[in-house]
Amino acid sequence: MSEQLQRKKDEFRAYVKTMKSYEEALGVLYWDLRTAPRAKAHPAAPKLSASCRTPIFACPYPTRWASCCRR
Amino acid sequence: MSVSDKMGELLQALSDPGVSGESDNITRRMVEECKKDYDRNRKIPPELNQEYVVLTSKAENVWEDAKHNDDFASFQPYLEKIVAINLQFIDLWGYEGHKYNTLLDMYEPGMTVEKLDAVFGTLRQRAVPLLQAIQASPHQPDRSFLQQQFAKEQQKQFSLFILKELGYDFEAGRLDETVHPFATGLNPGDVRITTRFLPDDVVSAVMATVHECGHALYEQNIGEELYGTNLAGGVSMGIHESQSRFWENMIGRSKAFWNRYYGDLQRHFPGQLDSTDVDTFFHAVNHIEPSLIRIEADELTYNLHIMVRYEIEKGLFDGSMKVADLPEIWNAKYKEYLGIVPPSNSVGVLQDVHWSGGSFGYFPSYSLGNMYAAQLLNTLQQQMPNLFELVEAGNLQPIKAWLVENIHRHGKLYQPNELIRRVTGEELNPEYLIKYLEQKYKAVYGL
Repeated sequence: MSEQLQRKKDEFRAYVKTMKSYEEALGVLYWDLRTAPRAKAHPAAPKLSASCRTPIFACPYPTRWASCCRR
Repeated sequence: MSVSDKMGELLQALSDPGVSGESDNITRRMVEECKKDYDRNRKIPPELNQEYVVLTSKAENVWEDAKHNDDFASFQPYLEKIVAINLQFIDLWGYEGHKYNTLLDMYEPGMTVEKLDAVFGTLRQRAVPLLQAIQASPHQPDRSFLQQQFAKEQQKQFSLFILKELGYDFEAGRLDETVHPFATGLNPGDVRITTRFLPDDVVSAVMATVHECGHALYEQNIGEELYGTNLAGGVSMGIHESQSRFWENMIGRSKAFWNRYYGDLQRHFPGQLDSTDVDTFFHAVNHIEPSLIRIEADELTYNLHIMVRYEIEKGLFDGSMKVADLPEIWNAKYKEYLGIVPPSNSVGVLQDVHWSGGSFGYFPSYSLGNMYAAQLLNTLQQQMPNLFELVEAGNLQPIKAWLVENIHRHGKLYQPNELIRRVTGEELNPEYLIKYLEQKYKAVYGL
Protein backbone atom coordinates (compact mmCIF):
# COMPACT_ATOMS: atom_id res chain seq x y z
CA MET A 1 0.00 0.00 0.00
CA SER A 2 1.40 3.38 -0.94
CA GLU A 3 2.34 5.90 1.71
CA GLN A 4 -0.04 8.38 0.14
CA LEU A 5 -2.96 5.98 0.45
CA GLN A 6 -2.09 5.15 4.04
CA ARG A 7 -2.04 8.86 4.83
CA LYS A 8 -5.51 9.23 3.28
CA LYS A 9 -6.84 6.40 5.41
CA ASP A 10 -5.34 7.85 8.55
CA GLU A 11 -6.81 11.23 7.66
CA PHE A 12 -10.23 9.68 7.05
CA ARG A 13 -10.26 7.80 10.34
CA ALA A 14 -9.15 10.89 12.28
CA TYR A 15 -11.87 12.91 10.55
CA VAL A 16 -14.56 10.36 11.45
CA LYS A 17 -13.33 10.24 15.04
CA THR A 18 -13.66 14.01 15.35
CA MET A 19 -17.12 13.88 13.81
CA LYS A 20 -18.19 11.24 16.30
CA SER A 21 -16.90 13.26 19.22
CA TYR A 22 -19.06 16.21 18.13
CA GLU A 23 -22.09 13.96 17.85
CA GLU A 24 -21.48 12.51 21.29
CA ALA A 25 -21.30 16.00 22.78
CA LEU A 26 -24.60 16.90 21.13
CA GLY A 27 -26.09 13.67 22.40
CA VAL A 28 -25.17 14.51 25.99
CA LEU A 29 -26.68 17.99 25.71
CA TYR A 30 -29.85 16.58 24.27
CA TRP A 31 -30.06 13.90 26.94
CA ASP A 32 -30.04 16.63 29.56
CA LEU A 33 -32.88 18.41 27.79
CA ARG A 34 -34.90 15.27 27.36
CA THR A 35 -34.59 13.98 30.89
CA ALA A 36 -35.07 17.35 32.59
CA PRO A 37 -38.51 17.98 34.02
CA ARG A 38 -40.49 20.12 31.60
CA ALA A 39 -40.58 23.13 33.91
CA LYS A 40 -36.78 23.29 34.04
CA ALA A 41 -36.15 22.59 30.39
CA HIS A 42 -35.72 25.22 27.74
CA PRO A 43 -39.12 26.13 26.27
CA ALA A 44 -37.96 24.95 22.88
CA ALA A 45 -36.99 21.55 24.19
CA PRO A 46 -39.28 18.65 23.45
CA LYS A 47 -41.48 17.69 26.34
CA LEU A 48 -40.35 14.86 28.55
CA SER A 49 -42.19 12.33 26.54
CA ALA A 50 -42.33 9.68 23.97
CA SER A 51 -39.85 10.28 21.24
CA CYS A 52 -36.12 10.17 21.09
CA ARG A 53 -35.17 12.40 18.24
CA THR A 54 -31.88 14.12 18.70
CA PRO A 55 -30.22 16.75 16.53
CA ILE A 56 -28.13 13.89 15.22
CA PHE A 57 -31.27 12.44 13.74
CA ALA A 58 -32.59 15.74 12.46
CA CYS A 59 -31.67 14.90 8.93
CA PRO A 60 -33.85 13.01 6.50
CA TYR A 61 -31.44 10.14 6.35
CA PRO A 62 -30.60 9.07 9.91
CA THR A 63 -26.90 8.50 10.22
CA ARG A 64 -27.42 5.80 12.84
CA TRP A 65 -24.11 6.83 14.41
CA ALA A 66 -25.64 7.41 17.82
CA SER A 67 -28.18 4.78 18.57
CA CYS A 68 -31.54 5.55 20.04
CA CYS A 69 -33.94 2.70 20.55
CA ARG A 70 -37.49 3.40 21.67
CA ARG A 71 -39.65 0.85 23.30
CA MET B 1 -18.99 17.13 8.68
CA SER B 2 -20.65 14.00 7.26
CA VAL B 3 -21.65 15.89 4.11
CA SER B 4 -18.71 18.28 3.87
CA ASP B 5 -16.55 18.68 0.76
CA LYS B 6 -13.70 17.31 2.82
CA MET B 7 -15.66 14.12 3.48
CA GLY B 8 -16.51 13.93 -0.22
CA GLU B 9 -12.84 14.21 -1.14
CA LEU B 10 -11.81 11.50 1.36
CA LEU B 11 -14.57 9.15 0.24
CA GLN B 12 -13.69 9.63 -3.40
CA ALA B 13 -10.09 8.76 -2.69
CA LEU B 14 -10.98 5.68 -0.63
CA SER B 15 -13.98 4.31 -2.53
CA ASP B 16 -12.12 3.32 -5.64
CA PRO B 17 -12.44 -0.48 -5.98
CA GLY B 18 -8.69 -0.84 -6.36
CA VAL B 19 -8.12 1.07 -3.15
CA SER B 20 -10.92 -0.47 -1.08
CA GLY B 21 -9.65 -3.93 -2.01
CA GLU B 22 -6.41 -3.10 -0.22
CA SER B 23 -8.14 -1.79 2.87
CA ASP B 24 -8.63 -3.63 6.13
CA ASN B 25 -12.22 -4.69 6.87
CA ILE B 26 -12.84 -1.92 9.38
CA THR B 27 -11.75 0.91 7.12
CA ARG B 28 -13.58 -0.59 4.15
CA ARG B 29 -16.86 -0.81 6.11
CA MET B 30 -16.32 2.67 7.57
CA VAL B 31 -16.02 4.04 4.04
CA GLU B 32 -19.14 2.13 2.89
CA GLU B 33 -21.23 3.48 5.77
CA CYS B 34 -19.96 7.05 5.38
CA LYS B 35 -20.53 6.97 1.65
CA LYS B 36 -24.10 5.76 2.06
CA ASP B 37 -24.84 8.62 4.46
CA TYR B 38 -22.97 11.13 2.33
CA ASP B 39 -24.66 10.17 -0.94
CA ARG B 40 -28.13 10.22 0.55
CA ASN B 41 -27.81 13.43 2.48
CA ARG B 42 -26.09 15.32 -0.32
CA LYS B 43 -29.07 14.61 -2.55
CA ILE B 44 -31.35 16.62 -0.29
CA PRO B 45 -31.40 20.37 -1.03
CA PRO B 46 -30.51 22.28 2.18
CA GLU B 47 -33.72 24.34 2.09
CA LEU B 48 -35.86 21.19 1.85
CA ASN B 49 -33.93 19.64 4.70
CA GLN B 50 -34.47 22.74 6.82
CA GLU B 51 -38.17 22.77 6.03
CA TYR B 52 -38.40 19.12 7.06
CA VAL B 53 -36.52 19.56 10.32
CA VAL B 54 -38.75 22.47 11.34
CA LEU B 55 -41.87 20.59 10.24
CA THR B 56 -41.12 17.42 12.20
CA SER B 57 -40.10 19.41 15.25
CA LYS B 58 -43.43 21.21 15.26
CA ALA B 59 -45.32 18.07 14.33
CA GLU B 60 -44.19 16.23 17.43
CA ASN B 61 -45.69 18.85 19.71
CA VAL B 62 -48.86 18.97 17.61
CA TRP B 63 -49.09 15.19 17.78
CA GLU B 64 -48.80 15.22 21.57
CA ASP B 65 -51.69 17.64 21.86
CA ALA B 66 -53.70 15.80 19.20
CA LYS B 67 -53.24 12.52 21.05
CA HIS B 68 -54.19 14.12 24.34
CA ASN B 69 -57.31 15.75 22.85
CA ASP B 70 -58.28 12.88 20.53
CA ASP B 71 -58.02 15.33 17.65
CA PHE B 72 -56.67 13.71 14.50
CA ALA B 73 -57.78 16.64 12.34
CA SER B 74 -55.22 18.98 13.94
CA PHE B 75 -52.38 16.52 13.22
CA GLN B 76 -53.54 15.56 9.72
CA PRO B 77 -52.02 18.48 7.76
CA TYR B 78 -48.65 17.93 9.43
CA LEU B 79 -48.68 14.23 8.65
CA GLU B 80 -49.71 14.92 5.06
CA LYS B 81 -46.78 17.27 4.64
CA ILE B 82 -44.34 14.83 6.27
CA VAL B 83 -45.46 12.06 3.90
CA ALA B 84 -45.24 14.41 0.93
CA ILE B 85 -41.68 15.45 1.76
CA ASN B 86 -40.68 11.85 2.35
CA LEU B 87 -41.98 11.05 -1.13
CA GLN B 88 -39.75 13.85 -2.44
CA PHE B 89 -36.82 12.36 -0.56
CA ILE B 90 -37.51 8.94 -2.05
CA ASP B 91 -37.48 10.41 -5.56
CA LEU B 92 -34.23 12.22 -4.83
CA TRP B 93 -32.60 9.13 -3.30
CA GLY B 94 -33.93 6.75 -5.93
CA TYR B 95 -35.48 3.37 -5.26
CA GLU B 96 -35.75 -0.17 -6.58
CA GLY B 97 -39.12 -1.91 -6.61
CA HIS B 98 -41.47 -0.42 -4.03
CA LYS B 99 -40.87 3.19 -2.96
CA TYR B 100 -41.10 2.11 0.67
CA ASN B 101 -37.97 -0.05 0.20
CA THR B 102 -35.83 3.06 0.44
CA LEU B 103 -37.32 3.91 3.83
CA LEU B 104 -37.02 0.34 5.11
CA ASP B 105 -33.37 0.32 4.16
CA MET B 106 -32.67 3.21 6.53
CA TYR B 107 -33.49 1.06 9.53
CA GLU B 108 -32.81 -2.43 8.20
CA PRO B 109 -30.24 -2.34 5.41
CA GLY B 110 -31.20 -4.71 2.62
CA MET B 111 -34.80 -5.19 3.78
CA THR B 112 -37.55 -4.91 1.13
CA VAL B 113 -41.32 -5.06 0.86
CA GLU B 114 -40.97 -8.32 -1.04
CA LYS B 115 -39.09 -9.97 1.82
CA LEU B 116 -41.33 -8.50 4.52
CA ASP B 117 -44.53 -9.50 2.76
CA ALA B 118 -43.28 -13.07 2.75
CA VAL B 119 -42.18 -13.27 6.39
CA PHE B 120 -45.16 -11.33 7.74
CA GLY B 121 -47.53 -13.44 5.64
CA THR B 122 -46.13 -16.64 7.11
CA LEU B 123 -46.16 -15.23 10.62
CA ARG B 124 -49.72 -13.98 10.45
CA GLN B 125 -50.98 -17.24 8.96
CA ARG B 126 -49.71 -19.13 12.01
CA ALA B 127 -50.15 -16.49 14.72
CA VAL B 128 -53.88 -15.95 14.21
CA PRO B 129 -54.95 -19.60 14.79
CA LEU B 130 -52.69 -19.74 17.85
CA LEU B 131 -54.29 -16.59 19.20
CA GLN B 132 -57.76 -18.01 18.60
CA ALA B 133 -56.85 -21.22 20.42
CA ILE B 134 -55.45 -19.25 23.35
CA GLN B 135 -58.60 -17.14 23.60
CA ALA B 136 -60.72 -20.28 23.66
CA SER B 137 -58.59 -21.95 26.33
CA PRO B 138 -60.15 -22.44 29.77
CA HIS B 139 -56.69 -21.93 31.32
CA GLN B 140 -56.74 -18.13 31.51
CA PRO B 141 -54.32 -16.48 33.97
CA ASP B 142 -55.30 -14.97 37.28
CA ARG B 143 -54.08 -11.38 37.12
CA SER B 144 -56.07 -10.00 40.01
CA PHE B 145 -53.02 -9.89 42.30
CA LEU B 146 -51.42 -7.32 39.99
CA GLN B 147 -54.21 -4.86 40.68
CA GLN B 148 -52.61 -3.09 43.60
CA GLN B 149 -50.22 -0.19 44.15
CA PHE B 150 -46.50 -0.95 43.96
CA ALA B 151 -44.24 1.74 45.46
CA LYS B 152 -42.22 3.53 42.83
CA GLU B 153 -39.01 3.54 44.87
CA GLN B 154 -39.19 -0.23 45.33
CA GLN B 155 -39.81 -0.67 41.61
CA LYS B 156 -36.68 1.36 40.97
CA GLN B 157 -34.64 -0.72 43.42
CA PHE B 158 -35.78 -3.94 41.75
CA SER B 159 -34.95 -2.52 38.31
CA LEU B 160 -31.44 -1.64 39.49
CA PHE B 161 -31.06 -5.12 40.99
CA ILE B 162 -32.11 -6.82 37.75
CA LEU B 163 -29.82 -4.63 35.67
CA LYS B 164 -26.87 -5.77 37.76
CA GLU B 165 -27.92 -9.41 37.35
CA LEU B 166 -28.10 -8.98 33.58
CA GLY B 167 -24.59 -7.56 33.48
CA TYR B 168 -25.38 -3.92 32.71
CA ASP B 169 -22.23 -1.90 33.37
CA PHE B 170 -23.08 1.03 35.64
CA GLU B 171 -19.59 2.41 35.07
CA ALA B 172 -20.64 2.93 31.47
CA GLY B 173 -24.22 4.07 31.85
CA ARG B 174 -27.09 5.02 34.12
CA LEU B 175 -30.79 4.43 34.63
CA ASP B 176 -33.23 7.34 34.54
CA GLU B 177 -36.97 7.75 34.44
CA THR B 178 -39.01 8.92 31.47
CA VAL B 179 -42.52 8.65 30.09
CA HIS B 180 -41.54 6.36 27.23
CA PRO B 181 -38.56 4.07 27.88
CA PHE B 182 -35.58 4.29 25.55
CA ALA B 183 -31.86 3.56 25.36
CA THR B 184 -29.22 5.88 23.98
CA GLY B 185 -25.70 4.84 23.13
CA LEU B 186 -23.40 7.83 22.93
CA ASN B 187 -20.36 5.55 22.79
CA PRO B 188 -19.60 2.13 24.33
CA GLY B 189 -18.50 3.87 27.52
CA ASP B 190 -21.71 5.85 27.92
CA VAL B 191 -24.90 3.93 27.23
CA ARG B 192 -27.87 5.35 29.09
CA ILE B 193 -31.26 3.79 29.59
CA THR B 194 -34.61 4.99 30.85
CA THR B 195 -37.63 3.20 32.17
CA ARG B 196 -40.98 4.16 33.63
CA PHE B 197 -42.62 3.20 36.90
CA LEU B 198 -46.39 2.81 36.85
CA PRO B 199 -47.71 2.55 40.42
CA ASP B 200 -50.47 0.15 39.38
CA ASP B 201 -48.38 -2.05 37.08
CA VAL B 202 -45.23 -3.62 38.53
CA VAL B 203 -44.62 -5.81 35.47
CA SER B 204 -44.37 -2.84 33.10
CA ALA B 205 -41.24 -1.37 34.70
CA VAL B 206 -39.50 -4.74 35.03
CA MET B 207 -40.05 -5.64 31.40
CA ALA B 208 -39.20 -2.17 30.12
CA THR B 209 -35.98 -2.19 32.13
CA VAL B 210 -34.97 -5.62 30.88
CA HIS B 211 -35.84 -4.56 27.32
CA GLU B 212 -33.73 -1.41 27.43
CA CYS B 213 -30.92 -3.32 29.12
CA GLY B 214 -30.85 -5.62 26.07
CA HIS B 215 -30.22 -2.59 23.86
CA ALA B 216 -27.61 -1.27 26.27
CA LEU B 217 -25.66 -4.53 26.52
CA TYR B 218 -25.30 -4.43 22.73
CA GLU B 219 -23.88 -0.92 22.76
CA GLN B 220 -21.69 -1.41 25.83
CA ASN B 221 -19.96 -4.44 24.36
CA ILE B 222 -18.90 -3.23 20.96
CA GLY B 223 -15.34 -4.39 20.18
CA GLU B 224 -12.64 -1.95 21.25
CA GLU B 225 -11.16 -1.93 17.75
CA LEU B 226 -14.33 -0.14 16.61
CA TYR B 227 -14.21 2.63 19.22
CA GLY B 228 -14.15 6.08 17.67
CA THR B 229 -15.41 4.77 14.33
CA ASN B 230 -18.83 4.96 12.74
CA LEU B 231 -19.11 1.17 13.20
CA ALA B 232 -19.36 1.43 17.00
CA GLY B 233 -23.10 0.81 17.25
CA GLY B 234 -25.88 -1.61 16.40
CA VAL B 235 -25.92 -2.66 12.75
CA SER B 236 -29.67 -2.23 12.29
CA MET B 237 -32.79 -1.50 14.28
CA GLY B 238 -33.97 -5.08 13.72
CA ILE B 239 -30.79 -6.59 15.17
CA HIS B 240 -30.94 -4.04 17.99
CA GLU B 241 -34.52 -5.05 18.76
CA SER B 242 -33.49 -8.69 18.69
CA GLN B 243 -31.23 -7.99 21.65
CA SER B 244 -33.86 -6.16 23.68
CA ARG B 245 -36.59 -8.68 22.87
CA PHE B 246 -34.34 -11.65 23.50
CA TRP B 247 -33.77 -10.48 27.07
CA GLU B 248 -37.27 -9.18 27.65
CA ASN B 249 -39.31 -12.05 26.23
CA MET B 250 -37.19 -15.13 25.76
CA ILE B 251 -35.28 -14.79 29.02
CA GLY B 252 -37.31 -12.26 31.06
CA ARG B 253 -40.66 -13.96 30.52
CA SER B 254 -39.32 -17.50 30.89
CA LYS B 255 -40.28 -19.81 33.73
CA ALA B 256 -36.62 -20.31 34.59
CA PHE B 257 -36.10 -16.57 35.03
CA TRP B 258 -39.00 -16.20 37.46
CA ASN B 259 -38.11 -19.40 39.29
CA ARG B 260 -34.85 -17.61 40.06
CA TYR B 261 -36.03 -14.02 40.57
CA TYR B 262 -39.61 -14.15 41.83
CA GLY B 263 -38.40 -14.45 45.42
CA ASP B 264 -36.37 -11.27 44.93
CA LEU B 265 -39.41 -9.48 43.57
CA GLN B 266 -41.49 -10.62 46.53
CA ARG B 267 -38.82 -9.32 48.94
CA HIS B 268 -38.91 -5.89 47.28
CA PHE B 269 -42.66 -5.64 47.99
CA PRO B 270 -43.10 -7.13 51.47
CA GLY B 271 -46.52 -8.65 51.98
CA GLN B 272 -47.85 -7.75 48.55
CA LEU B 273 -47.06 -10.93 46.60
CA ASP B 274 -46.87 -13.44 49.44
CA SER B 275 -50.07 -15.26 48.51
CA THR B 276 -49.15 -15.53 44.82
CA ASP B 277 -46.96 -18.43 43.77
CA VAL B 278 -44.41 -18.32 40.96
CA ASP B 279 -46.58 -20.37 38.57
CA THR B 280 -49.39 -17.87 38.90
CA PHE B 281 -47.01 -14.97 38.42
CA PHE B 282 -45.36 -16.61 35.39
CA HIS B 283 -48.73 -17.20 33.75
CA ALA B 284 -49.77 -13.61 34.44
CA VAL B 285 -46.66 -12.10 32.81
CA ASN B 286 -47.35 -14.28 29.78
CA HIS B 287 -50.95 -13.26 29.46
CA ILE B 288 -52.06 -13.16 25.82
CA GLU B 289 -54.90 -10.90 24.81
CA PRO B 290 -55.59 -8.62 21.84
CA SER B 291 -55.18 -5.06 23.04
CA LEU B 292 -55.20 -1.57 21.62
CA ILE B 293 -51.76 -0.31 22.58
CA ARG B 294 -48.66 -1.64 20.84
CA ILE B 295 -46.17 -1.01 23.64
CA GLU B 296 -48.33 -2.86 26.12
CA ALA B 297 -48.98 -5.82 23.84
CA ASP B 298 -47.90 -9.37 24.60
CA GLU B 299 -45.23 -11.07 22.49
CA LEU B 300 -47.73 -12.88 20.26
CA THR B 301 -50.18 -10.12 19.34
CA TYR B 302 -47.37 -7.55 19.20
CA ASN B 303 -46.48 -8.70 15.71
CA LEU B 304 -50.06 -8.08 14.53
CA HIS B 305 -49.81 -4.49 15.78
CA ILE B 306 -46.69 -4.09 13.66
CA MET B 307 -48.33 -5.60 10.58
CA VAL B 308 -51.11 -2.99 10.77
CA ARG B 309 -48.56 -0.18 10.76
CA TYR B 310 -46.52 -1.84 8.01
CA GLU B 311 -49.55 -2.19 5.74
CA ILE B 312 -50.45 1.45 6.31
CA GLU B 313 -46.94 2.74 5.64
CA LYS B 314 -46.78 0.72 2.43
CA GLY B 315 -50.12 2.19 1.39
CA LEU B 316 -49.04 5.76 2.12
CA PHE B 317 -45.97 5.42 -0.08
CA ASP B 318 -47.50 3.54 -2.99
CA GLY B 319 -50.36 6.05 -3.08
CA SER B 320 -53.11 3.57 -2.28
CA MET B 321 -53.90 5.24 1.06
CA LYS B 322 -54.47 8.87 2.03
CA VAL B 323 -53.59 10.40 5.38
CA ALA B 324 -57.14 11.70 5.77
CA ASP B 325 -58.45 8.13 5.70
CA LEU B 326 -56.01 6.74 8.27
CA PRO B 327 -58.34 6.70 11.29
CA GLU B 328 -60.84 4.57 9.40
CA ILE B 329 -58.17 2.37 7.85
CA TRP B 330 -56.48 1.92 11.22
CA ASN B 331 -59.70 0.86 12.91
CA ALA B 332 -60.64 -1.51 10.09
CA LYS B 333 -57.23 -3.18 10.21
CA TYR B 334 -57.37 -3.56 14.00
CA LYS B 335 -60.72 -5.24 13.57
CA GLU B 336 -59.31 -7.51 10.88
CA TYR B 337 -55.99 -8.38 12.55
CA LEU B 338 -56.83 -8.26 16.26
CA GLY B 339 -60.60 -8.39 16.38
CA ILE B 340 -60.92 -5.13 18.29
CA VAL B 341 -61.76 -1.55 17.34
CA PRO B 342 -60.21 1.45 19.12
CA PRO B 343 -62.84 3.60 20.80
CA SER B 344 -60.86 6.76 20.00
CA ASN B 345 -58.01 7.93 17.80
CA SER B 346 -55.93 8.60 20.92
CA VAL B 347 -55.65 4.87 21.47
CA GLY B 348 -55.80 4.20 17.74
CA VAL B 349 -53.98 5.92 14.93
CA LEU B 350 -52.52 8.62 17.22
CA GLN B 351 -50.94 6.30 19.77
CA ASP B 352 -47.37 6.25 18.42
CA VAL B 353 -44.91 9.12 18.11
CA HIS B 354 -42.99 7.71 15.15
CA TRP B 355 -44.87 9.29 12.23
CA SER B 356 -44.70 12.78 13.74
CA GLY B 357 -40.92 12.55 13.45
CA GLY B 358 -41.04 11.08 9.95
CA SER B 359 -39.89 7.64 11.11
CA PHE B 360 -41.46 5.62 8.34
CA GLY B 361 -39.92 2.18 7.92
CA TYR B 362 -39.04 1.92 11.60
CA PHE B 363 -41.99 -0.19 12.80
CA PRO B 364 -41.08 -3.45 11.02
CA SER B 365 -37.82 -3.44 13.01
CA TYR B 366 -39.74 -4.49 16.12
CA SER B 367 -41.11 -7.65 14.54
CA LEU B 368 -37.86 -8.34 12.76
CA GLY B 369 -36.28 -8.16 16.20
CA ASN B 370 -38.66 -10.84 17.47
CA MET B 371 -37.81 -13.06 14.50
CA TYR B 372 -34.06 -12.55 14.78
CA ALA B 373 -34.23 -13.15 18.54
CA ALA B 374 -36.02 -16.49 18.14
CA GLN B 375 -33.54 -17.55 15.48
CA LEU B 376 -30.64 -16.63 17.77
CA LEU B 377 -32.28 -18.46 20.69
CA ASN B 378 -32.51 -21.60 18.58
CA THR B 379 -28.79 -21.48 17.77
CA LEU B 380 -27.86 -20.59 21.34
CA GLN B 381 -29.84 -23.56 22.69
CA GLN B 382 -28.07 -25.89 20.29
CA GLN B 383 -24.70 -24.63 21.49
CA MET B 384 -25.75 -24.25 25.15
CA PRO B 385 -28.30 -27.00 25.88
CA ASN B 386 -28.36 -26.07 29.59
CA LEU B 387 -29.37 -22.48 28.77
CA PHE B 388 -32.43 -22.33 30.99
CA GLU B 389 -30.69 -24.20 33.80
CA LEU B 390 -28.18 -21.35 33.80
CA VAL B 391 -31.03 -18.83 33.89
CA GLU B 392 -32.65 -20.65 36.79
CA ALA B 393 -29.34 -20.59 38.63
CA GLY B 394 -29.05 -16.86 38.05
CA ASN B 395 -25.91 -17.45 35.97
CA LEU B 396 -26.64 -15.15 33.05
CA GLN B 397 -23.02 -14.35 32.27
CA PRO B 398 -22.48 -17.20 29.70
CA ILE B 399 -25.55 -16.03 27.77
CA LYS B 400 -24.34 -12.46 27.70
CA ALA B 401 -20.86 -13.65 26.68
CA TRP B 402 -22.33 -15.63 23.77
CA LEU B 403 -24.20 -12.57 22.53
CA VAL B 404 -21.11 -10.39 22.93
CA GLU B 405 -18.99 -12.85 20.98
CA ASN B 406 -21.50 -13.44 18.20
CA ILE B 407 -23.36 -10.13 17.89
CA HIS B 408 -22.28 -7.23 20.07
CA ARG B 409 -18.56 -6.97 19.46
CA HIS B 410 -19.01 -6.80 15.68
CA GLY B 411 -20.91 -3.49 15.75
CA LYS B 412 -21.63 -2.58 12.14
CA LEU B 413 -18.83 -4.66 10.70
CA TYR B 414 -21.31 -6.97 8.99
CA GLN B 415 -24.63 -6.20 7.33
CA PRO B 416 -27.64 -7.60 9.25
CA ASN B 417 -28.35 -10.48 6.84
CA GLU B 418 -24.66 -11.39 6.78
CA LEU B 419 -24.42 -11.27 10.57
CA ILE B 420 -27.46 -13.46 11.14
CA ARG B 421 -26.21 -15.95 8.54
CA ARG B 422 -22.78 -16.09 10.20
CA VAL B 423 -24.31 -16.82 13.60
CA THR B 424 -27.26 -19.07 12.72
CA GLY B 425 -26.21 -20.52 9.36
CA GLU B 426 -29.16 -19.09 7.48
CA GLU B 427 -30.90 -15.85 6.61
CA LEU B 428 -33.94 -14.50 8.43
CA ASN B 429 -36.47 -17.31 8.90
CA PRO B 430 -39.82 -16.59 10.63
CA GLU B 431 -40.29 -20.28 11.35
CA TYR B 432 -38.17 -20.01 14.53
CA LEU B 433 -40.41 -17.35 16.04
CA ILE B 434 -43.53 -19.30 15.13
CA LYS B 435 -42.18 -22.49 16.71
CA TYR B 436 -41.06 -20.60 19.81
CA LEU B 437 -44.49 -19.00 20.26
CA GLU B 438 -46.39 -22.23 19.59
CA GLN B 439 -44.25 -24.27 21.94
CA LYS B 440 -44.33 -21.74 24.76
CA TYR B 441 -47.98 -20.79 24.67
CA LYS B 442 -49.35 -24.26 24.08
CA ALA B 443 -47.68 -25.13 27.38
CA VAL B 444 -48.76 -21.96 29.19
CA TYR B 445 -52.39 -22.25 28.09
CA GLY B 446 -52.61 -26.03 28.16
CA LEU B 447 -53.48 -26.33 24.47
